[in-house]
Amino acid sequence: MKKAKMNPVCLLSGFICVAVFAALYIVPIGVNFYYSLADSSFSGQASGLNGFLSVLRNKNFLTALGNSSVVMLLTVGGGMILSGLIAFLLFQYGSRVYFSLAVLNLPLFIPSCAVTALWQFVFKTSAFCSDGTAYTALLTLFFWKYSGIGATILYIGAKSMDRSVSEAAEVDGAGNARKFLCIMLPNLIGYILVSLAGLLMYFLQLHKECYLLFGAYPCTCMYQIQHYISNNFNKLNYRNAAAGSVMITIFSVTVCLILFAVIKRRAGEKQ
Amino acid sequence: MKHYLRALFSFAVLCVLFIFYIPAVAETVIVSSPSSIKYAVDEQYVWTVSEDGAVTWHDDNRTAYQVCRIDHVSRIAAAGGTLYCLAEDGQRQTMYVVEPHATEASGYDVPERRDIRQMEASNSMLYLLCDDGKVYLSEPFGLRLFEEIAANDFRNEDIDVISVYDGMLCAYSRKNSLVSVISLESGTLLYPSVTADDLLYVQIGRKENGVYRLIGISDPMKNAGIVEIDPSAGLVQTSDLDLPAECMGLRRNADTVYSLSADGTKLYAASLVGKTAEKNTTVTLLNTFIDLKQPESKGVADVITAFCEKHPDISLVNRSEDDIRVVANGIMSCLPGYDIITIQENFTKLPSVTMYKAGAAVKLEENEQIRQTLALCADVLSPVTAEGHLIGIPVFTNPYLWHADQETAAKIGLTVPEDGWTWDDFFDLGEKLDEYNRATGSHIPLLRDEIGQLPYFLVQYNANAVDLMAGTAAYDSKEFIDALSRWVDLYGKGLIEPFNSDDSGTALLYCFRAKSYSEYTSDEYDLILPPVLNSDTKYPVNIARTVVNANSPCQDVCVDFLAELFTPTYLRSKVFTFNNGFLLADDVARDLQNDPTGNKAVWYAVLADSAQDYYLGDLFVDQWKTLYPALLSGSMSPEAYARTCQQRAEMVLGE
Repeated sequence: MKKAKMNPVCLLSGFICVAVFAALYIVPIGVNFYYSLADSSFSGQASGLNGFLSVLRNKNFLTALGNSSVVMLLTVGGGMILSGLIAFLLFQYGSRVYFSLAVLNLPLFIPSCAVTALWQFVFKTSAFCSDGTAYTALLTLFFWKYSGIGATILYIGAKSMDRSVSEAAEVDGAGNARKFLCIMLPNLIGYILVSLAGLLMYFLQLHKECYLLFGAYPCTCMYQIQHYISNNFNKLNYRNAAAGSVMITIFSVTVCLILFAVIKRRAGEKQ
Repeated sequence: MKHYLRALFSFAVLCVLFIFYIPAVAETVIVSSPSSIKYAVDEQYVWTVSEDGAVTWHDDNRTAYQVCRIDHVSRIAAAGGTLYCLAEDGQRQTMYVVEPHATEASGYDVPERRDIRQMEASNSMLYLLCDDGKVYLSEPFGLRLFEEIAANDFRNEDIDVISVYDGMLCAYSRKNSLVSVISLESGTLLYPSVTADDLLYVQIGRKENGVYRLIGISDPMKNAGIVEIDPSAGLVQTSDLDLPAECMGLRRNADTVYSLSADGTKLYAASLVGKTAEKNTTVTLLNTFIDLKQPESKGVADVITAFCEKHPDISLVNRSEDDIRVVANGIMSCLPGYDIITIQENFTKLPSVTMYKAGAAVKLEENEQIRQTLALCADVLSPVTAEGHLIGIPVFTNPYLWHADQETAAKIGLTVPEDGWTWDDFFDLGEKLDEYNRATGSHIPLLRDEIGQLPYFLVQYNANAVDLMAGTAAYDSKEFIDALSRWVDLYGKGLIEPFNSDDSGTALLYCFRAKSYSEYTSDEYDLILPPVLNSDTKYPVNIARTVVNANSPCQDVCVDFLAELFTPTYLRSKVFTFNNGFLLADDVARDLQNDPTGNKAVWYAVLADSAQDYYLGDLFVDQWKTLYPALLSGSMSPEAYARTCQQRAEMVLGE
């Protein structure tokens, strides 16, 4: 059998790609993981999984985990519902749709610090505001800022749908609700998952808005994992910060992988 | 292919030029002028006077600032941030004194005219080399004129060139081929005169092993070049200073020597540091109050000198950074620039105890020199220790002190306890005063609290309630809630005057944060010990301290620097005692023997039983901005206040 000749240029470019990927992605994540297993960033001595165990036993971390889960459900779930509603309205009744979508996406380009002052003024947010006020302020800010992008993705999905299926269902006597539930939703599932993944990523970035509205130590219901990580970093407790961030990374990657696996499966089913 | 190779070669040449040539030129020539200039140097500025009389000073970034214009300038010299210009207009000699930020120079006519060949300045005095070959001392404003310099074994005649630096006068006589170095303080020759031929200029050079070397410029007609003279050994050798072989004049400041090009149009600078030994390590002083270029006192200057002598291969640099995230990142990631850090505990969100808990603060007593000094110290250092380890060297101490107006108290018929009293005694005193105020219709407040945003009562409680090391807080005690209720009651009766109060009438008691030992132990005050909650209560104190980052690549060297800041000599220096009082047990005992007002005793008693007033995370801001105003307005009960503080403290400490 003839041995395949390796092209040196291909080999070199492959090596460069791997090296750049390692330098930009693997090394920082690896360093972060290394410090989560170390005693501290000063001694550098290995402490096994003690960092993870101490974080998991920490009352503040557990509170933060619970709060983050609640806020994630509310922001991502609420954001999806709102995005779907906007997309549906635009699809069914909208005129000058692209202009509307552009306006809806505009908040995404406005820096958070420029708008949080308005939210602070309207909701009088502070570390001592009530839970209701805190949730209202944070959720409205999230919806205002990110539901536009979700709506855009869903609208594009709806536009790309084969209209003949919908028309055939209409001939068969299906109403708007039935068409939406039985035709649109199953066909849009890929787009829904993409916007879900997008909103999830935006949720993970929500810390700066939360920090600006409520400070480094917010009211208990707004104390999230990012607060825990950031405050531990400022206290030079890098092991806990690293362990916390490794856990949040694992959680996020797992959720994203599940979402993408579902998307892939749906795409396979469609084909 | 050829073109590519040519382009590559040109690029390489350009890179080499850029890397080696351009920075070299930029390093050396600091002033360039179309016509010839005169120059003078002091520790702060480099001064130049152009041919048309424009007087200019140049800062560290080589930015020029023109000050004024003086005509007919013949000689200039600078010292202590002041330029002295001698102008000669015919037979008239005028001495001008120029300050950097003045718009015009003040001048006076020199009463006795002499031909002056060279003028140098030091410590507000002028050293003049006159045409008769002698060196004279003059006072710039003419109070002392032309006093002949005399020193044992020094022949003040046939002198051709002089220089003055750091209390030393260096004089060279070409006729005798002798260089002499005289101590201006003691009036003696520091070393036997050294033989050196054909020098045009001399200057005091760098210090090596406690001995200053000399720099000389040889006559270009004979043997051009820069030479270095070891006066203790009498050796003359070629110098490696980055100056052209043919240049005019030699003047210096702490770390740089300056000279003019042969045509007088370019001013060169050559670094004096890093020549004796290559400076391959930099130690950064972050947020310290030490000005390396202009040490605030002789004590600090001696510390720097002692350190540099011990570590000639280390260069010290200053840096400041307020952003806690930047500092935290720098400390943890071993970045350069975070070696020695001064922390103002009640100003930062990164207290030194937090650093210690994270393993970031070095245990300083492990250094032998520090340990020895520590053994001599009075028991006043507990706020700068953690788990029995010394984690910081005090920079300044600000205890919270109380002052009683005994005259007013006597007038009212009340007795203010001098010590050993509790908050209950304080509140009882308040009730008696309230009765007096009601009976007489007067309004004398019990306490004017001039501490700041939070009253002393809460500052003291915060300092005692929070144990940063253990990560615990104790706000929810009944004792605190009761005291808080009585405090609010007194406030409601107008007996507590807060910070920034408009009312500036007489009060019975005052409390404030003392900024310096010297000021607050004077007889202007009648200090008393503040009340306490119980026998375990400690007095709050703010001690800014300098710590060493455990991640510093040169940790031992940094500790050596702190050791120099913790020698008995430095702890007795004016600059330290002014801010902190005495620290050594013997000194404290001696100091207390001379205490007619009893104020020093109060100062040391507070320090002996003190706790650092940490402003924990957001808890301080929470109390100041939200909780305390709500408590005073009645919208929050003392119980709710205590509960919220406890909850917030647990959130901060529980991470």
